[in-house]
Amino acid sequence: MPISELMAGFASALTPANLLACFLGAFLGTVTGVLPGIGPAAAMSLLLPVTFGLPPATSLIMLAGIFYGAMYGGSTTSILLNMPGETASMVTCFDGYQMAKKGRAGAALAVSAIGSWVAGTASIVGLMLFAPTLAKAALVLGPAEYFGLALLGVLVLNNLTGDSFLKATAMLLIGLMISTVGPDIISGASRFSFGNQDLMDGIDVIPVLMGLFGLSEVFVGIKEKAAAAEVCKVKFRDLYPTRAEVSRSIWPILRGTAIGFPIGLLPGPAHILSTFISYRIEKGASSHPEEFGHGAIEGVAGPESANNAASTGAMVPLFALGLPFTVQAAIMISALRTHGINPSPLLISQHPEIFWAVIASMYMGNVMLLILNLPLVGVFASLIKTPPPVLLPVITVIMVIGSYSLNGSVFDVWMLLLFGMVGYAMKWVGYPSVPLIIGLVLGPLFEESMMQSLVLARGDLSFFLHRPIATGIFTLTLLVVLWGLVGRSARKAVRGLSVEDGAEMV
Amino acid sequence: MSALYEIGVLLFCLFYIYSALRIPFGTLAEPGPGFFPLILAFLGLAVSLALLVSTLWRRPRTQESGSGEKVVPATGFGGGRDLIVFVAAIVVFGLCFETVGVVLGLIILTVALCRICGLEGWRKPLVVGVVTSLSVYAVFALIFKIPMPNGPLDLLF
Repeated sequence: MPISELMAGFASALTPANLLACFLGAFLGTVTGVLPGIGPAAAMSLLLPVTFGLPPATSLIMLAGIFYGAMYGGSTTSILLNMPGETASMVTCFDGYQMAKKGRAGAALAVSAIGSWVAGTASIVGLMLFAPTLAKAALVLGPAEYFGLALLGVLVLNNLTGDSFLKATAMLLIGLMISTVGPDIISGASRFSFGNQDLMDGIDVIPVLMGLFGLSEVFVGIKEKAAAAEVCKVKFRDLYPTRAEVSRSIWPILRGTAIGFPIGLLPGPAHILSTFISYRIEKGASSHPEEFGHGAIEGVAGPESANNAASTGAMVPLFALGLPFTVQAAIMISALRTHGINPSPLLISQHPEIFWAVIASMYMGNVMLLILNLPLVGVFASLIKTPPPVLLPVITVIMVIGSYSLNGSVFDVWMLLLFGMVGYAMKWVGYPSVPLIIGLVLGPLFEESMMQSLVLARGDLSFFLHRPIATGIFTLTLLVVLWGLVGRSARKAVRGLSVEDGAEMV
Repeated sequence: MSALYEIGVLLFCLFYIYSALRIPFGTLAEPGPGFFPLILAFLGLAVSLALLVSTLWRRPRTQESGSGEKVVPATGFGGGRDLIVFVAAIVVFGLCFETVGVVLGLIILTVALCRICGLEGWRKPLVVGVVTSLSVYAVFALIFKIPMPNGPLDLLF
């Protein structure tokens, strides 16, 4: 256990400035996360510009706080409103909202918070142990292996995202194409700029993120003309779960943690898969399976823990390999790149102060969330009642100025608007946005590793056959593509583990 | 609707190919700046064609994203007028705010958006506009010291 590095991380994270950043991040993340229609991804992208004026470590510490806060906020809307902030919180609606209707909203929120804290803390330990080890192992990987690994990861993600491998792949390719706008990585030659000064610098990820996940939700809100939410009331004195509820929550929390973290290590919508798997397991393991769907505390404790554990587990490939397979991880990478830090296996060795400060802040953020959110749950619940005619314009204005503040250019506002409309259209026709973002974020890495591989191979493609790890990865990639294209009947057989038919799992 | 979207993707890929062909491709041993884009372009073209053919071939069915992301039901264009006006308001803001300044621009934008979203009267939208504008300005311009256009307010201070 790297105790000395962790202590150094705490020393850095426990400065007044970083403590304040963590607190603000957790608070703002929760405030944004509880807003209906704004999931953790949108909340993080909305608040990302707020972190830019800060030093790199402080920025990441704040972002970690936002991350946890937004996830918890998403759970709050699931329980109080039956409206999940994101798909991973959908499972919490099954039983959390039913508990709220029975007057046990406080207990559901408390168990959700405690379970998330336990899972978060345990998986941070896992992150601490796995990430540096994996990063050291990854140093033997050359450009060919790296390219293969990134390609394999996104194709697995495409297989698991949505009901169409082709749709997800199309969006991934669009994201990769957009990432090529601007200067070429190797030669610096300008591409696809058409003489436009703004395009010469490339298209920033953040307005695209805000547009796809934030502004598109605003458009949905306008189209659906949603009324102000009716929220189940929560009283502070009702926050405490009963002894029976606590007793029934312990094993689901531990199982959820154990399930979530390993799933988080894999490419794919890990946090979504983990909640559905956890729910299924808890229903099978429970001595009261008939209560599931009607307010079973296990149906909240297990999935919430699994979600948090998986989301933290997804940070392992991010920090160890520089590969994001979730939107939250993609946002973290964008934040790192804004500060001139390029995530790679060398991140931990070259910038240990950043990695360990983030680890320490994740512990702190987790504790802060527990201390902050339980007493203030009534306050956060009241935010949900904000009428949409006020909420939607305020969110839009924040996104517009947030986009402008990136480079002081109206061009980023146009990108926000464009991708808001694209995101809305994607929702309309049923195309997933996550592969587009992953493609946009991973594009430079893909291109760089592919180009380096070809230069090393000197044009001789048999070069790759002499690299056994690369050959193995590419073979696996081919199998994944074939599975995606022709494995539909096989996937139907395992449909119970797919996210598309969550209702059938209940 | 899905077919329209896929036609849009196809047209994008064709345009991208056209643009990528004007960038030096290089060779396998020394790939140029156009190498990666052209590969992507042809892959994108193939996938978008496959999707379009697939959509036109099979019978219409209920739209499901399957990724768990929200799908807006394509049942007419109700609320579409509000959406168009909402987008237009943001466009006008983008065109004008560097001239009128961020504070004034945001107040006007917020009031307009509140009214479009159905907030009645003028007092409430104005209050929301002023509070939002000043808060956002305080955070971004004063605390984080991000340069923002002040417009006519530059003459006052």
